[in-house]
Amino acid sequence: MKDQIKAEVRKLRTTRSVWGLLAGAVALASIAAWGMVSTGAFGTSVALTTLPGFAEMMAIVPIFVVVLGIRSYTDEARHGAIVPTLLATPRRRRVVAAKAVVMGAAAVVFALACTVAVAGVSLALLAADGVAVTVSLAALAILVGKAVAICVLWSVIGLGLGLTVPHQVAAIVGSILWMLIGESIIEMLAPGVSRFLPAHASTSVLGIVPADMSVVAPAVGAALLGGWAALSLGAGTRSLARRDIA
Amino acid sequence: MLTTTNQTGSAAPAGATEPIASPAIVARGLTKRFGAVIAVEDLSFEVRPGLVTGFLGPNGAGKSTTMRMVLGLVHPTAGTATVLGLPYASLDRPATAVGAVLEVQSFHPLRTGRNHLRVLAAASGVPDGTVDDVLEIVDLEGAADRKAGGYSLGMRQRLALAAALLGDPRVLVLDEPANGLDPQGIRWLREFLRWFAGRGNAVFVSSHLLSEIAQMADDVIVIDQGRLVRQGSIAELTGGRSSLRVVSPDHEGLGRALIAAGLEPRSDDGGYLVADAPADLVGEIALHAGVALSELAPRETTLEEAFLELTEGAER
Repeated sequence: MKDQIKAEVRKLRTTRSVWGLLAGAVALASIAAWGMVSTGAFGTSVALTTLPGFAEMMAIVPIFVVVLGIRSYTDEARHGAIVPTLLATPRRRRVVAAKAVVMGAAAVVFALACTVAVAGVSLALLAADGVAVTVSLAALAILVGKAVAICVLWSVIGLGLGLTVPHQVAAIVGSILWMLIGESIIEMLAPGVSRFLPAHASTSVLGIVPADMSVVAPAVGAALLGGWAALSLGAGTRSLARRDIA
Repeated sequence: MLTTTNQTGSAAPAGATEPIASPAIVARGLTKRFGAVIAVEDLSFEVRPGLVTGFLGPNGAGKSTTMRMVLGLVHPTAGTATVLGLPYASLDRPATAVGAVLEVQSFHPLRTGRNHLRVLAAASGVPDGTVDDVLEIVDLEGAADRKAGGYSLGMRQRLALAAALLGDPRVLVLDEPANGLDPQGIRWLREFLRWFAGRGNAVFVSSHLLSEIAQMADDVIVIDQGRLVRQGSIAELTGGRSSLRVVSPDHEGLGRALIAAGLEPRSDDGGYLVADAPADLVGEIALHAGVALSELAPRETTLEEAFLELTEGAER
């Protein structure tokens, strides 16, 4: 397993588009934070961890880590690189496990980088406006922990999706549409159902919930998101185990 | 262009050279159906150590599917395949047992050749230093730090061969490895595979180039439409099948006489080839038919003729 993890880390580090995804996530999260802070009214003092930029960030970054997870398998399938991968490690579950570990680790990096970017942009803008920002380390640690956990689970959802639907474009476009508008449409049609879906569960975990959104309790949301990740990874593992690499 | 400077293996990774005692690859009743299509049917064969075993068959005969079943990439519908006595998926460190070259494109095009090999070295539990060794063996050091997507077909084949050699394996499985290689590259490959097998290792190589197989293989497995047509040494395949080339100014008259005598003449460049018939019998037939002969000579059956005869026979 150690060898497979090392190989997956090397794949990530030698794929330039991964760095592009990270840069894109940080840039979009920063822009979102800038937009939220510059148009918001905060009075003379505000707590860092209640800033809406973090909610915006967590609507954006999961999309990037899902794409990262999807590409982990579909890139290899697309270029034929999956053949030497499976020749080196014919126990396919081991390949999936190594990918899940490394995707999860990459998602931690995405979550931390974006949190730092959003906090930095927000602090700079608020300081320029003369707004005092209070920072509770305990609250910050909880926020960061939630962001990290959410991103890790989304990366695993992405990996499972990529394994189940190896057509890269279909998997990426489908998942982005789902995250951006799919659940909103379901919320309009069946509000009782939508709160159990992954993006809604993700929002409930973070705890910064838009007024018009119906969500479950944070702990239930965490369990739901974990369940979706397990379901996706399970389906993906089963799919790869049965697939003929012809 | 490949050079032959390394063909004696001076740059090969250090490792096992002990001959393998039992068959390197054993297939028993291998069958693969893709929906209604039967790609491989009840195929059994053995690949022995110390030999180069050619795997011959027309396009679509099931060669690639068979190799992929041996390597655990395709699940057989029925039957088993073992490598060094175990199913591929049960091998502890498969890269040290088997190296495989299956397709020309098997890398991320934006990754350099060296980084591609470093990824596989990590996955195989092989030291990074081996990457330089295998790059040297296939003479790809100069291009190692270029993106593999820009490689020529021949360079891609050499990169795939380098990947196959990473674990210093005991068995090589190669699907059409000569594709894209220039003549010098093909000669290098042939000599390399002969050298590799000469160390007691096994080589299982498919090709549609019969002349290539004839020059490098000891054993040949011939399949057609997914079924085994014949397995044996090249000598067994071509030997015992002597034929005569017989030519007459009265071409049609000769043909009629031979058929009337119960032989099966095949047209061959203005004359006929007659299998398994002694020269004095053919001469006598011609004499009785009043047909003059301008040529009557024994002809050794080439592998190509044997192959065509075998696969045509299978179709019938």
